[in-house]
Amino acid sequence: METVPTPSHYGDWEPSTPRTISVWKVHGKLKVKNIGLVADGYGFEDTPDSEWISGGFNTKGPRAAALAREACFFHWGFAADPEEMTPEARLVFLNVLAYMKQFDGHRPLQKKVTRHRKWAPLYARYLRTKTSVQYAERLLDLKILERHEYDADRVRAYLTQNLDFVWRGPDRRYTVDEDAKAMGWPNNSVELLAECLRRWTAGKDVERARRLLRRYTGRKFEDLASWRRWFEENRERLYFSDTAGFRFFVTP
Amino acid sequence: MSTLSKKTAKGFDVVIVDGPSPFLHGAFEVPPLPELDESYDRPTVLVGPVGGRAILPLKIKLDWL
Repeated sequence: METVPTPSHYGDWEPSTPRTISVWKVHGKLKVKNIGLVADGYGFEDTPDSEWISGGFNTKGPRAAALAREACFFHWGFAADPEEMTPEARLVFLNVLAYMKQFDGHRPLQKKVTRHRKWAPLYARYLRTKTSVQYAERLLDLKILERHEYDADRVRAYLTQNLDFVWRGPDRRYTVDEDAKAMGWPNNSVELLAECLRRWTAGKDVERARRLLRRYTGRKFEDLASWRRWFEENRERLYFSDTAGFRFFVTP
Repeated sequence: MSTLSKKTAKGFDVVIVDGPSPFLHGAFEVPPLPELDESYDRPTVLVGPVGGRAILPLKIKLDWL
């Protein structure tokens, strides 16, 4: 491993990125022009069958995935043939082959239908130029843009501060779920569902509780008893995925 | 590579999807890609741009940013 200056554009993605990063070399200059490939690095942790392993030097950002796994698929984003890999990279590649054998028969749990909530603050950058404002308006809640006077820094700060409650609303724009905020739990926490059931049981915030339960589980039970039964049966196996649609799923 | 499927991958511990540089002949060009469907579940390492493109039709997290 060696320590090198972080690519300057990484700070645009994540301001807290350190000035230096630790890297190891996968390959040098290639004999034939080629390009590596990175996957969107946000959201690998939100299903139990995927893992982000490593970023790298790329034209995107610090979390863009150069090495990652989802179910039986391993993404090796580097372009070099084994002959052009460093000895260390060859060892890692061999380790990947050995590692992957255990995932025989593992199909991906979910489709990716949307980007992770961490993209929402990044989209605020589209407010910086007149020609790109339309993209911000397409992707972000217009009320948020208006409330913050279309100021990129203010919108970004607001969405970052409220990241626990960001979801993709009915109009497909990223927004802050005020219902979840009122309940006091992040929308991706099982405790939000538990709180909804607590309040409903106490006769408080019943409509909000019902709305949240349906919104984030995809279930449409009418009565409290059915909700409680479903929750108790599945609580230990619930996981929340932004990329699969901003809702809870039950691990098979 | 275009013939890769769950059936043709049977019997192999791990499959590697790779190909020559898309710029080998100048302009960007990828070889015919396998048509992996949702039943595919063999351990598979997707290398570089060719491997990465092979997986795109499945619309999972391993995408091209």
